[in-house]
Amino acid sequence: MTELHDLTATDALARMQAGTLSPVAYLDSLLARIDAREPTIQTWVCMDPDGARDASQAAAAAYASGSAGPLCGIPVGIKDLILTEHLPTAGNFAPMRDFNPGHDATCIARLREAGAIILGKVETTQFAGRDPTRTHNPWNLERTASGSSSGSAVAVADRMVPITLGTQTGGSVIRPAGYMGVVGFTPTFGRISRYGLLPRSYSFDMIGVMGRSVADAALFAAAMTGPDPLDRATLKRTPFKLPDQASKRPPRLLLFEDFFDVSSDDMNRHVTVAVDRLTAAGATVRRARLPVPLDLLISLHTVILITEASSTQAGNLARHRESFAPGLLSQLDIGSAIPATAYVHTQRLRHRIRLQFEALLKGIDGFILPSTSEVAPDRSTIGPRLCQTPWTILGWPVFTVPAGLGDEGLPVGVQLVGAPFKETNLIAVADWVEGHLDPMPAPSAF
Amino acid sequence: MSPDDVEAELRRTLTARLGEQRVAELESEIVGTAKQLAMVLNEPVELDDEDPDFMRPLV
Repeated sequence: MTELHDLTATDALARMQAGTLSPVAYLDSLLARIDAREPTIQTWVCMDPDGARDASQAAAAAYASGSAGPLCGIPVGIKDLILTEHLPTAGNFAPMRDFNPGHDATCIARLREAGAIILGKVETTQFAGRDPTRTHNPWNLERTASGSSSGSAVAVADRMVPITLGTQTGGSVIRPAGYMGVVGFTPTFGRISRYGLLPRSYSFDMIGVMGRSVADAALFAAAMTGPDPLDRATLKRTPFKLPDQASKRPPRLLLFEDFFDVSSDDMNRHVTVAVDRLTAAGATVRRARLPVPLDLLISLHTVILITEASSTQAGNLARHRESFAPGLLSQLDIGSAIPATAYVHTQRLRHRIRLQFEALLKGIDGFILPSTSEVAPDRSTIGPRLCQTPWTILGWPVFTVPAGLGDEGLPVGVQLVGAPFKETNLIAVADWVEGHLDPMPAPSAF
Repeated sequence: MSPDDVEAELRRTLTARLGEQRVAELESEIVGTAKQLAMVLNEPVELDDEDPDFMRPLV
């Protein structure tokens, strides 16, 4: 029998709509799960259980009166880099431990409007940097919980909440989601307002969703989209539509072999098995090479990231230099020395490269590749960004879909990249892929 | 620009801003970043590739 904390968000919503599950009972099951697991996992920064109970009672009343919103009664965990009116947002930076400007980020306000319950804040690496958090990986306590959205991935994988929000500036949604065996989805840059997100890199930062099914991640992402006058990148973009039903058409995908060159043998073997399975089910997978070297993409990402991050944090650096984590501080220091002409050249190069990738989209639904270059490594690192960063540079929509366990009993994922602003099609592709791969079991480290 | 040239320029700027001790602490990062920056700077971008709003191309 399925425990309540094992339900996906869409399963829980269906039961609530049918009147067979109370939002209050559902919340209580998740709080009990958190009580049991948190002492070991250490993924919550702060919580509001009393507020969540009040909200779950209001959700029960909304179902009873027929006024429930599309996400009504589903508790959500939020990366501690996104503003929430009722809880502080510290970004894992001690001087900001009580920081709360008293309003929600736009994405949080939209979740609340749809009926979701903001249960609490989950761990992030400091300002979404590269220094690992205290959080433990529920698949193997000696392996990394990754980052920067470590708490978001772990809370979903460990059945503490069905949905979390993360952010991606390099690979910070797809990489931890891939390591934890959950679905991660980052829509196109400009789809979800970033107003209320503590910035790391203005031209890369994106908000994403983690869940335990493609349908869950897509549903919650869709609820946050749409124009927001407070983030001009969103102004021309209406919300994307969810696919009417699971696509029956096998997808046409391009597989970049470059990522097999930089991935472990174990990862390559398992992803190849998954791709073979999709091909046997009817998918068309054509192999190709990247239009520019992967090294160049990673270098471009570094130059823009450290320059923008150094500017973003200039005030905190001047006031609280001693409070920065060492890895982030090194990047900020070096970023402060990048010449302005070099930064502008890199942004121009980024545009040229985007055009080169756009030319590859004709006649296909998207790209497929490993979500990560290896299974979760040890706790000294958040893991490499090789497989995720190219798509953050482009700003295109991305999914990671679990593809079973690798040889070490750790999750493996396949990554799907879609055309910009074609989320509806990418969701259908991800749904098809998910339907042809084995369901992911729950973590079992303890 | 060679990686050595880029590295020397980074080192000069950082020494002036943060001092020699900090530059010594950052040694390996400076070398790695200089290689990446040189790779990017040596990649040509022609004027006919331009989009006047290249900084916000997806908006």
